[in-house]
Amino acid sequence: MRWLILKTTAALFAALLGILLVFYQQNYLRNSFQATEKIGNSFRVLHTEYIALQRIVLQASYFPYFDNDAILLQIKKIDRRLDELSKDPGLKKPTYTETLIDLQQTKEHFERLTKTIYEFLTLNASLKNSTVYLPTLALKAYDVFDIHSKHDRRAIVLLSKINATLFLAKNALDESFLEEVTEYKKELEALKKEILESDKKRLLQASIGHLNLFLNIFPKFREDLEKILDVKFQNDLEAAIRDFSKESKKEMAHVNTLSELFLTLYLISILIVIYFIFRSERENIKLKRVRDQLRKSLITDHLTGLENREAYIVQKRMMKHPAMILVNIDRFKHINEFYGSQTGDMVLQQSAQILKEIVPLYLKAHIYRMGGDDFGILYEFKSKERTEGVIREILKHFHEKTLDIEGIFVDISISIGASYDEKLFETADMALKITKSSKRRRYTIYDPSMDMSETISKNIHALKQLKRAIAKDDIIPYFQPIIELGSGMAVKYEALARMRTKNGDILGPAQFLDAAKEAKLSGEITAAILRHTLKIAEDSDMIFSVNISAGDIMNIHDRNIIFDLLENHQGCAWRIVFEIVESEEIEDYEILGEFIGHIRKFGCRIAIDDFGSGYSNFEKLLQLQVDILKIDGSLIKEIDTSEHTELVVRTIVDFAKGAGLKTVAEYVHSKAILEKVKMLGIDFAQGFYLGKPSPEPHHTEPADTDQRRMDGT
Amino acid sequence: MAAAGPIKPIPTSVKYDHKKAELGKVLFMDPGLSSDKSVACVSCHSFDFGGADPRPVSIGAHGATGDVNAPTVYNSYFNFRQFWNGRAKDLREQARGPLHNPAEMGMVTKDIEYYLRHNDFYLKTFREIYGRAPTHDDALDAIAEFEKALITPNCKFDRFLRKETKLSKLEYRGYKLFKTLGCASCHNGINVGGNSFQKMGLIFRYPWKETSPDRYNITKSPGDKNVYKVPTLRNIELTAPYFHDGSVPTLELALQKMAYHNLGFDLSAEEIEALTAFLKTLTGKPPPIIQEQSR
Repeated sequence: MRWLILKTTAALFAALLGILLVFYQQNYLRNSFQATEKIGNSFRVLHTEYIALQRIVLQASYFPYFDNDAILLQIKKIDRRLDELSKDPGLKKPTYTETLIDLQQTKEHFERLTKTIYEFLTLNASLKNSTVYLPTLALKAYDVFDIHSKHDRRAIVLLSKINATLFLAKNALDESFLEEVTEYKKELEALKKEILESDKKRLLQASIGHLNLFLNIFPKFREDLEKILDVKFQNDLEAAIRDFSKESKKEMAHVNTLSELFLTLYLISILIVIYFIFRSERENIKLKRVRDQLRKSLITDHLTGLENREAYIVQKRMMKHPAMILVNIDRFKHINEFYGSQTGDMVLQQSAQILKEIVPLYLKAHIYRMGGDDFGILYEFKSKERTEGVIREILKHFHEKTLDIEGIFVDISISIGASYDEKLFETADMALKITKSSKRRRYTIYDPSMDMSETISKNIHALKQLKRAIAKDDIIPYFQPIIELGSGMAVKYEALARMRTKNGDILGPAQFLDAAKEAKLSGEITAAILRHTLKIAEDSDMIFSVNISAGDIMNIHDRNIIFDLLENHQGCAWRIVFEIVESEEIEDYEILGEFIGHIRKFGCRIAIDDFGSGYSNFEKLLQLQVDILKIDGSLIKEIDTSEHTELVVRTIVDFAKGAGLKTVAEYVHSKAILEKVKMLGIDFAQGFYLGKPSPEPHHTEPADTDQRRMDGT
Repeated sequence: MAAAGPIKPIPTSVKYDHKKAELGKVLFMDPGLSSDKSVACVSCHSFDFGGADPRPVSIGAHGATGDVNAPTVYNSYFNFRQFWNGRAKDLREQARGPLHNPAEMGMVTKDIEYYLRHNDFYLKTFREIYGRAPTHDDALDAIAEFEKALITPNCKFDRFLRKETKLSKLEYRGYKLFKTLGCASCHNGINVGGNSFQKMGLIFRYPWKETSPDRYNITKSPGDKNVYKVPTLRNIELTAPYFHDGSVPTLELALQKMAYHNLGFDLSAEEIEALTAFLKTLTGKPPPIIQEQSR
């Protein structure tokens, strides 16, 4: 889940990045293009503006009077544009180093040019002052000089020549005319000396002043004008434009590279998205396959290839009215033991194959191996008739079939239980059991009435058996030796209840004790065992212990029977040890105390059975002045393997010794446990290892007698 | 073509920031901006004398006399440079000059700011306009803005150029003489001057002193002696006395002197009469802003 989120995020991120990159690229391209365009345009306009300035300056030099504002305005315009260009952020990139240097040079050049233009304006005005006024003076000369006087006419002619030459010099900007002007000036100066009239003299003087001015200024004026009209500045500007176009091409190449990079990044981001989509899809498929396999493996029985019980549980849930036929191979355990489990497996495999073949398709049934030799057939219930039809078909088929297991012919028979009850499997199983327990039936279909009747019949049967046994005196003791560990001698026997059946089978207490308790017959059993034991004790020198339950003691009737029995066998009653079982169920310690007190009169001794297990009221028990503690078998059983248990047992033993009580270990079923028990200093021991219960109280030597003898017992 | 005429009319109005200009007007007339609280800008750029000083040279704080005749403040916005020698490139730069000149108002930046910041009106007005307490630079800005408003449009000659009226025969003859005598080679453009530096005394030398406010003062180039920014001829009849040293009291004399020094010849009485008539057509209407009530 976390991976999914991560992958989705990564894919979305890549997609977003791609989109952003495209936007950025578009934006970047547009901006660079616009910036370059703007700057290029500015350069071109600058060029035009400069040419316009040159034109205006030329006009200023040509016209006799002129509005200088036009020149100043144009200078201001160019100044501002140069300023803007040099501050343009588009040129701040390192690509435009050359352009910026060019631009700086252009700016400085223009500053110099501006100064030149100012100087030109000054000189131009002065020259014009003279070139405009000299003709005025020449006109005045006609008034001042006498045109009829030969001498005076010389002055008028000279002034005319001067005007003509100046006009040519100025408008042609040709310095070569200055030589002639100088000549005329000298002539004027000579003329001035010859003339005496002051007004004539002053006119000549003024003319000479203007000529001087012209001669002084004209070279500088021409130089300035040439500088202004020169192509040098234009060259500078053109160099800047050239460099800019070169550098902007580089910049565009840069932009192109960048845009290619963006495109690559964009493609990569798309690929990443595709990759993630593809990968997650592939993983999904892989995952699904694994899941399917896992599910299949989980729900498949590997031996038969049928579905297993897990599958059954799932599929049952999906049905409306599920019905189940449970098929069991009779005596399969026997087949397994007789032919070996390999053959047994093959029997199962072939049976599965047969089932698959014969279960009709229209049932749309699932066939399972439910475990062991049980096969289940699950299908949607339609009618009892249909179910019975299918069952008969199966039975018929298996009846006719002899399995050929690699040359071994195995005849098998099957039992069937079927159900369509709510508790499908349990009830089918119950039906199967009924089939099994009957010799005639081949199949049973579950009916709710079966449930109770089965238990009841079992219980009734057990009770009948018990009552019969009591009546026939078939409740008899079996004796298990209790070995004194010090001497290794069997000095005591525990009398254990057995029931002899009608056909002579001997059953253990597990088979009848529950029924006895239920029917309040446990006292009868205790009494029967005590009676038999006392009889045997009469002819024995052994000690016998007899179990008595708390319930027996609390029952006055049972108590009195015990007391009577002891009374009747006063000679051997002292050989009896009463082992109080189920001491945790004691309700009335007073009655118990009385009981103990009473039996002590006959010399009987008291043992607490199963000491150390479950709940025991130690304090109360010990106040009863018991003689023996029988350590609970479940502790002894694991004494050689569990340190904790050993500690518990050791505590009990230590405590018993302190209280002067004897201890008995039960369930000693191995040599190792025996060793341990001895080591712990327990006084007595009993168990299968030391001696099994038998109808007669005599000690049969256990398997490794030699060993015990070597131990010195 | 540019040759159509060397002179252009003044626009009938210029755009300017009225709030700043009004503040500038107050500053322009405030003697508090001089070291002894005796002179204001207006003391030497009188609105009664065409924005110029009727005295040959101006008198500053503590009675100090200058060396220069104050040029008119009217239409100064159209000059390509400010001051006689053009050392200031614009009005803001110009306004700084007299404020700090010991012979004029004799203040330093600190004094100016101290004064302005201890005046409730200035505190409030500067804060309104510039969003901060009065500063020296903001004060110059306001004054420059006021000066921008000081234009004198609609003189007879401008209206003649705009073909709204006709010149009298005498005036027209004066205008023609103005062009043929070479005056227009220096006095041209919107301000009839103020757009180039020119020499006083091309033919006959004009007296030069160390204190002459000429280009030489700045460039130290000998050729720049007695080179001045050409003064405007607008409102010339109002701005006597004339020339940078205020040495000439009348227009007629000024014309004669210019003819002598720059043409090397005398003008006839008729020529003087015509030229004077023409020059008087350059007198425009006083700027509206100086008639408005302030403070």
